[in-house]
Amino acid sequence: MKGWESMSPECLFVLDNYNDYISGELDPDRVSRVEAHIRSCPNCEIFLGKASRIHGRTAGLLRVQAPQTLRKSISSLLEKT
Amino acid sequence: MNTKSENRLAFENEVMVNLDSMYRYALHLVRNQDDASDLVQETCARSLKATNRFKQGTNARAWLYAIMRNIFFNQRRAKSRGEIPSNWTDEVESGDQRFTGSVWPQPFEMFLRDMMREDIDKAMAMLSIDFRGVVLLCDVEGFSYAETAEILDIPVGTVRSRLHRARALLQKMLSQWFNEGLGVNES
Repeated sequence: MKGWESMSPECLFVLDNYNDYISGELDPDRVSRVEAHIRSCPNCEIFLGKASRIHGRTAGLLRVQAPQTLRKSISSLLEKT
Repeated sequence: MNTKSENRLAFENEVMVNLDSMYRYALHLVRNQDDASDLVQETCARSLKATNRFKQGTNARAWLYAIMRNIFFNQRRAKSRGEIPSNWTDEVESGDQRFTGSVWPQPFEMFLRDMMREDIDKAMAMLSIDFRGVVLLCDVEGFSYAETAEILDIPVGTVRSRLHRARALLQKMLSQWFNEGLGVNES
């Protein structure tokens, strides 16, 4: 991402909104505005792509599974209760 | 023969479907594998006693999380238990199955993945419990800001600000991976 001083208002808009964009919490008008800008701004496109991948990769690696022993004990609990 | 109501069967299904997710949240809270299993069991036992309050079609997962969170904080208040450093990486029992395919196909990439996962664990452990909670609920479990706010009993704006701050910290702590392109060469 460029330094603050060289950012256009649209770049700053992306910077302000990219977290909500990644979360899927941005309203449709803002999503359109972000997507319109990244089509014409390679720096913002790279920045947003990188942020999305960091988010996706981090979340993916944190998705651990419950141990089989726990799964069995919960099944047993549900059966007996 | 034990005949269960339709509501009860639906609830049991929700519990089993969300078991991995509940375990992850428990790990986040207690940071210890054995205690996490205990917390999940206690949550299930308590929720079973309240299945009459469960309505099909509602967000059972959020309800289970809220019950778990209450149990955890009540237990924490009741007794002071030292926080034991956890190793989340040990919990990824079938990681190879879940990360195979085009994402991490080669031994070297698998090595990098393990290294990265270790660093992610460390980075997460360095976050405060408040920041870790929103990362887990929003980014790992996919709850909306509103659902997360309800589970944690905090305003939506607080969820948003904590998440943004936590992500920035994680990005900073993990920047070596991403700046070197090791973890971002595929989407």
